[in-house]
Amino acid sequence: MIKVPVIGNNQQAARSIFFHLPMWMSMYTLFTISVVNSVWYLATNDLRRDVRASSSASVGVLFGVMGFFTGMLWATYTWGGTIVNDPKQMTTAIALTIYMAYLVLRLSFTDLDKRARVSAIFNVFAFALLIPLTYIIPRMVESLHPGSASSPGFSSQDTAGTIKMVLWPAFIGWTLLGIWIYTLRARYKRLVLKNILHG
Amino acid sequence: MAKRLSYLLLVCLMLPITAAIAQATDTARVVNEVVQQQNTETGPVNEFFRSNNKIYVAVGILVIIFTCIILYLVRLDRRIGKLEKEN
Repeated sequence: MIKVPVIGNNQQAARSIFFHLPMWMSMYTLFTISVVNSVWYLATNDLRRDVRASSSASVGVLFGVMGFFTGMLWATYTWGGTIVNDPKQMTTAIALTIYMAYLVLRLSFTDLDKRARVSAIFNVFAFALLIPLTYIIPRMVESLHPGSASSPGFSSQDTAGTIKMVLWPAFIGWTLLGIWIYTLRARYKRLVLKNILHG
Repeated sequence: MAKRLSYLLLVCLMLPITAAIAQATDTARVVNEVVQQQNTETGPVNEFFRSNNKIYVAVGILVIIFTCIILYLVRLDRRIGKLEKEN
């Protein structure tokens, strides 16, 4: 157990940062993998790219939902409400909804090529919205999240050295875990579509 | 099953958005008031999470993450099992 600075009514709940933040880093990585594969699919029409894009988006949503729920619990006992009027929480909910719509959109197609093409285009739009929604807008307005209306928390002076020491390995670890789950899912999907992909 | 679950999650996330947009008020002031009110609130759950300097909030967060990952992996496991039976 390391010493964390005790500020305001956060108390020892401040340790939640070691789990709450890596969820988002992992989600960003997975959504980036997803959009790269979607663009790649549009360029090559290779269905294996679509399998990768949808798998990483699915695991990305898992990490996003985990990040959202952990934030909800944390907010309940520090901000005084599960869903408060915080811009970052609201925009994140919107961004996650867009990605869930991507997964639902995929289920509505029976034709594989049509599904891949339409969802790849949707994915590009979703990613184009994700970054401003979760990264830019919350920094332009007042927020309950630390580091808002200034530079990102972990690169500025706001974060204590002891916290950073744990956070960076945690980012790497959770991101690798996310990528591993994504490869498992992609391998499963490739097996399902084995006859089509290699036929 | 997967379809139904996705719809459910979608609705669950859309509710807080609409609720948050509906109550557009001065954030910091309202939160301060609510925090003050909640700090004096009692109840078994509230007392548990606030005991020992709120360390159980961090514990609760770990439980959420663990549960979510396990649920996701169990679902994946079931699908792979189904695939194995088909072949």
